[in-house]
Amino acid sequence: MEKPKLISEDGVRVDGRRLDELRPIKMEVGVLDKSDGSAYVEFGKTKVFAAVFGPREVHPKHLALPERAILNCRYHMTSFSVEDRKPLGMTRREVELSKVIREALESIVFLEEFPRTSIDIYVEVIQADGGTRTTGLTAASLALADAGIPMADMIAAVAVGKVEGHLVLDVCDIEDKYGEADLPVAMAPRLNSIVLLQLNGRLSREEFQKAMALAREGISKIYQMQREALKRKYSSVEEG
Amino acid sequence: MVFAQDGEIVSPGQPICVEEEFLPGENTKLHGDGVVASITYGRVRYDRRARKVKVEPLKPVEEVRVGDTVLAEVKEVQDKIAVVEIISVDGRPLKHPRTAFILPAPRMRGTMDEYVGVGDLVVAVVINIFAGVIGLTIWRQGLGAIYSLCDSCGGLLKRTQKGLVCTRCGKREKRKIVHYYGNMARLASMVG
Repeated sequence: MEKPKLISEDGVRVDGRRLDELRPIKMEVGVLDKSDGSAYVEFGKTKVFAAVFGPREVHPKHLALPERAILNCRYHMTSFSVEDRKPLGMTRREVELSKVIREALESIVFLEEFPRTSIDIYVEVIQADGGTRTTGLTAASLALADAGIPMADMIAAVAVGKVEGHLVLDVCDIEDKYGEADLPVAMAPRLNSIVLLQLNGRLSREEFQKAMALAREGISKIYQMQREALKRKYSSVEEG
Repeated sequence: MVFAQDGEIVSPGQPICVEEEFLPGENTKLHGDGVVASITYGRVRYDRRARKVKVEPLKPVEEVRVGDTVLAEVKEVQDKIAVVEIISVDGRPLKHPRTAFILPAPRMRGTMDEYVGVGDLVVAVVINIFAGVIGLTIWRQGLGAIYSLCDSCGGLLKRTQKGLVCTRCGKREKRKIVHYYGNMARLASMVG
């Protein structure tokens, strides 16, 4: 397939956004009854559910830690989330992303409050259109807050890409495929700490600095939306 | 400086006030710059007399604390301890049951199987929690088995003047029981 034109002369992207514009974002908290905490997050056409169970007993028990809880994370894409059917099992990519999401979340959750227990996080990608790890992490953080798990801060995440020589915020699938670089960033904004940073492709030092500034800008907007989504849930509970 | 008013809903990480105004209490954390921030999603409560601030969680995490009265099912009985699974705390059922141990009393005579049996439902009090291990006692008044099963056939043990007798095989068993042993309405209220 021939590479499509991704950015027009007047700086408009393939989906009509400006270079520093996020996709339309939708966030909902407490969407699943059976879990202790849950969230649904949409970044454009990327749709992700996250559910949290626990703190609960660890199985098998020999995995329990006497001084803190263990955080289990499972990032999974449904078979129908991509154009070609994805096999049901966990792929290498999913195992890796489960690990990076877990490590990002471990840095903000007060695990030492719940020794010998586990907190299980399930991130299920319903539809993938780029930025699934960042959307998943944003949803997982919301689900943890909804479950009442003590955390130092919430995590907001977004990916910055380099497409046709331009830095763009919140890359979608086609930009990710044909772009020159992809930089997923997750931050705990109040703590001012970066909890996830990956880079596929190449960026110069200046480009990297600009990309980080762009990511920070996007993250602060996403963080604000997360807080509003949490408050919205409580106000709907009070009204109901 | 106060960033969040009394009763305001805050999310994890959100600044509430500075340490000079109110000291950090439950569900808050003091940051290096002197700012007290919330660590959970909840409502801010200021104690102006004690000059402390806490956050009441809107969805508290299911926890077992020292002093709680629990209903537990006996899973395993050893010489000096019994392994149980806590199913409700103070009349609230636990979504995620927790394993705990009935600890022996200094005055306990004989072995634990003279006091509880596998499958029994016991009322106990949490006396200590160390590194996530929950210790229970049944050695107080009003604590013990509320519902017991026969060690031989698994039949229900009924309280008679001769003690506990199996309704199926007639075997007599020894247990430490509560005074309302066999009261199903009371048991149902404990399960929640």
